[in-house]
Amino acid sequence: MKMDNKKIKKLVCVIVMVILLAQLINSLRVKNIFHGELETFVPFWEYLVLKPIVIRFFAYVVPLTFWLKGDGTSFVKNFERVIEYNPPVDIAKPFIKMLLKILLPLYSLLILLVAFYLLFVSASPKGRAKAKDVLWKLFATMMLISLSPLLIEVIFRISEQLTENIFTLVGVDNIRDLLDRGLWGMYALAVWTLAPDFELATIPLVLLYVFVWAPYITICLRNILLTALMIFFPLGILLYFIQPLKSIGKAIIEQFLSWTFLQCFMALALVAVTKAFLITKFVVNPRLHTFHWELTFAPIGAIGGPAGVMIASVIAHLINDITGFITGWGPLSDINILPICDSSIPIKIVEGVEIPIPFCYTDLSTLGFGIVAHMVIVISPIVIILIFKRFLP
Amino acid sequence: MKMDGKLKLLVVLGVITTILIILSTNSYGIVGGVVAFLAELAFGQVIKELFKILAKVWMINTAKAATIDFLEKIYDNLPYLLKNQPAINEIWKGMFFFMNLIILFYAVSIIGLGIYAFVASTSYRKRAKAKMMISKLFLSLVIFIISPGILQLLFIISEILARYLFSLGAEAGIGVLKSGGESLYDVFWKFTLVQRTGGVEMFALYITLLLGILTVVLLREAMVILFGMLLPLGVFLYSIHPTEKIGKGLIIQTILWTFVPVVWALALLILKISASTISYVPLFYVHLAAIFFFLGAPILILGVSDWLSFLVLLFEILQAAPLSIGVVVIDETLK
Repeated sequence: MKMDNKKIKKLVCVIVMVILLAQLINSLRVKNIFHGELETFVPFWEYLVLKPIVIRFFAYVVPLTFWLKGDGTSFVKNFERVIEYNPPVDIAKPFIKMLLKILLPLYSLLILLVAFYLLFVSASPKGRAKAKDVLWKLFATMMLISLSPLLIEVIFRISEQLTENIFTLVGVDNIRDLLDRGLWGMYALAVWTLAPDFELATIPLVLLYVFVWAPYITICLRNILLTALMIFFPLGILLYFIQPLKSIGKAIIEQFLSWTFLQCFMALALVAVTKAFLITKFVVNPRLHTFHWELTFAPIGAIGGPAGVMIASVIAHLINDITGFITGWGPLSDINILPICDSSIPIKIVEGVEIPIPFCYTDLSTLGFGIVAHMVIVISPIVIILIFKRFLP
Repeated sequence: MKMDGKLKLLVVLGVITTILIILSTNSYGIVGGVVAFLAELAFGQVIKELFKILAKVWMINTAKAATIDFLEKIYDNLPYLLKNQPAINEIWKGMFFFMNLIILFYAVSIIGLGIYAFVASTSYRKRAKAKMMISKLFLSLVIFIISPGILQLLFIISEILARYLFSLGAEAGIGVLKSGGESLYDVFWKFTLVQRTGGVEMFALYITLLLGILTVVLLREAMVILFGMLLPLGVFLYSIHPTEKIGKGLIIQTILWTFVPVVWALALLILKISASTISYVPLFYVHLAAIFFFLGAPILILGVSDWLSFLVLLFEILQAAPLSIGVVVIDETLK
């Protein structure tokens, strides 16, 4: 009987505990779900959905995508025209004419003086030879200065033609493809780093902007400098033939030639990077999908088993489609990522037409060489100035 | 027996009540309410913070898998990229393009000098000089023609040397580089859990270094192709007196970029040895310095910088590293 009472007491204790626990669970459940506060789930909502997807994605990634599709890839779309471009010689002609107006009377005076010296002053054969030499130089420079616009035009044409031929070594489309995918690769890196926190994306975003702006800035700088040097070119020829001022003239002509042929070097550098990209094999070349939401929701699959995997996949596909819809590429869940070649771009087949979608995928090799391709355009002037210096006698 | 019957009744009633309470959704018992209130007071904030950290960990791990783990794969490619030169056949195509252009200049130069030496020149001295220039041009023409072979030879020598250094254990140096990055990520990881922007500079530095290694290694691949294609031009320019300097510069650049992998392999070997022998310095700084040493190695060989400036740079970085951690700590403490 005593034993029975003990059992009953234990049973009552368990019942009381169950009641208390039930009350506790019930009160929490009632408070959170039915009173609409959901406090416990706020961090999950905030860190997994609200901030990365709703705020950062819609407020930043979507406008960034639109910008990159338009203005951001402007250089990629026009690079061969921009690199092959030289400032028109006509803009220098008024300056050259003005310079000639000043120089020609001076030349006339100098020629008269030398002739006068030859005829009346000089007594020694050495002095006469020197005067003849000066006279010849004066005539030569006068000719060169008068013909300088034509000379500039010829130099520009040679440089342009050479640049065009260099581009044919790997094909303009291959270079464009690499530049394009370099940008989108950096974009993919930026998207993933800004998902947990905006500050983490600082470096990829800064690099992305640098890659968009720096090539244009470098090429604009070349054109500005070339315009200035084009104007000073006749003066450079003149100074080159005057012994005390030879170093200044030499510097002007050398700089003019270096900055002119910089376009050939830029083209060659791009060709070299594209060649390197096409022939370099990676042992491990991982892929990075820009909107790989499956990765984000993988823990649901891991926790929830087969049902979790299915839920994660459904959510991921849904977000992929929303992403594609917002960014204007159409549904992304049916993208055909060609598995054969690592360097292939994912394509979408719409009514039998293949639409490349460069922004949703990159790999290590493409990203790396894409960065290098943008970088070589920027460092080309430094390399050419370091190597091609003081080459005139 | 009566008592047993009452007790049984009590138990049945108790079970029914429990079931009813569990099933009910809006009933607050006095005891239950008090316990719930106390539990929420004690654990509510803790649970909330734990969930917050859990969510952040989840998101950061996802981003790490997509960025850091992705970029770190360059370490797996390093031995292959350093032991192998780019395919020579592809560089030859570019070389032949320039050879076709330059051969015309050779022809013009040799014919011009020949006419001058045998017809136009009046003095013995000038003729002798012209003849000497012709022989120099012929010699340079021979080197020009065999320049694709010379480049291949340079590639073979570089590959042999790099492979030999790797056989000595240079691969272990990659582990030192990896550790440097992991240390940075660890610092970032600890601080980011405490404060939202904590350790962000560590993450930025780490991603910059990873991108730096990737870029420098691939830039070498491109540069060796670029200067390889320009080697015939370098040989031609070297044979003409006014452009001798440019030609020399181009040839030197070709040789240097070809042997950069050897320098890197050597740097990795040195890192492997020195990382285990440096004492009194925390490993964190040793590993960080290793990354900077690896990145700076080609700069040293290319002669853009010198040892002293590189050491000054290294010293500044080492000084800046603890300072930035300190800034975060102070920031956290003040908040």
